[in-house]
Amino acid sequence: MSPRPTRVVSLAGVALTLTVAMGGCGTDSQDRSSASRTPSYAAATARQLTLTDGWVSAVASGMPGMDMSGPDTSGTDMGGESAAYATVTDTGPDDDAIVGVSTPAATSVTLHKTVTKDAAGTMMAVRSIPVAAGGHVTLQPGGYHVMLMGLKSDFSAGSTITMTWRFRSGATLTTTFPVIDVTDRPTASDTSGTSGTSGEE
Amino acid sequence: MTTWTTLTRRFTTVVLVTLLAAVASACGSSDASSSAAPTPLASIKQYHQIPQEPLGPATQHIAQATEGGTWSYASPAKGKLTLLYFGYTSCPDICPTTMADLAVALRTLPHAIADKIWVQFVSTDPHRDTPARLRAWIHHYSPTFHAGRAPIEQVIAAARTYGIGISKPKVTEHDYQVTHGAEVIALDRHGAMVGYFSALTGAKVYAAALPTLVKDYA
Repeated sequence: MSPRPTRVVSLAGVALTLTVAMGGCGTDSQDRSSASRTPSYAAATARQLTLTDGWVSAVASGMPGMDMSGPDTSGTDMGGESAAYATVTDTGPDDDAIVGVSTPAATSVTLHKTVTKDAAGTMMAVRSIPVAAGGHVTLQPGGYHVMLMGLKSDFSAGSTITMTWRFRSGATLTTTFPVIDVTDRPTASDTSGTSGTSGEE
Repeated sequence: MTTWTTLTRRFTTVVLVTLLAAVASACGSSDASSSAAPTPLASIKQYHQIPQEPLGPATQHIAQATEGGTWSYASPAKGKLTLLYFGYTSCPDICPTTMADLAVALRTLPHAIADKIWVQFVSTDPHRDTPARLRAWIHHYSPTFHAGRAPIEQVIAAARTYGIGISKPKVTEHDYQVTHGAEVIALDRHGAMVGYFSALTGAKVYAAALPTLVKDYA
């Protein structure tokens, strides 16, 4: 449950868009055991918003395409799916919300929430993900996530993709997200029943 | 005599351990691969034992994509504990997390225990999940895992036997909605459901509970 090293870059007023290079964050590693690589998660700040623990889930490489024929399908091969996650903190006095995410690495980027009913889950598209004033929202497996479809670049562990997150307030955050194996995900900090333990240590 | 420092330390320890119940200690000992006794299931809060009669087995069969032939809920692999999960390969969120966590958990267990665990993935999107795709997807997580498919109506019926409310994939204007199980189901040697994990419970919880489950049900 120890906090992972993250690099947070603050940027005052002028530029609302910024890019944070991820290279070198790994050198901040604390006392993790040698067996586990400590991933460097994406981090960025603009206005009153701070994004931390950003990551993208690696996908299996060389996957055969889906069968997109027949009445049960939408008729388009989406070319692979992944998901992006992060924690967004709003330190300001006003509520905000994530209203959209874009990346050149995928043809379709949508906001989703996994809804569980009768011991089964479905992903529901949502228009926005609220971030309360003075609070935070954690996108994590089983909850909110950014769904990436039609992958156009390398989504194997170790690669990176650039994403821009847009907020209702007008703020945007552009930063580089690491693609990591899901088992290297940040340890959930505030849930009990669905905590995502990372399986390392 | 208990000092404040000790109390604080103890409190901190309790907090750290609470989330994972008694799991942390069991995990630590799993590296040693022998000494400690298996963790009692009752102490693992994120594993839920079926208290009365076990559920099932389901009567359906699935076509096994990983090694061919069929797999039956009612006659799972002999001498093994089966962990059953309903999901689909284009699922970006819970399904990969669940498979990856199970793979990590099994790698931390002694071979003698891991070898007695059969991980069975059943597709809830059988039309789009071709056998080749199922094979590639499941083997990305572990070459020892198994995946198969059956007509969706049969998958729905089988899942209901174990209390999992799968629905048929639904096409909406801009979406293709597929359901996945929210639980990893433990089946005994006869295919009866003896308990379940929340799908996002994490590798440590699996690793803590599995030795006892193997001992009792494989």
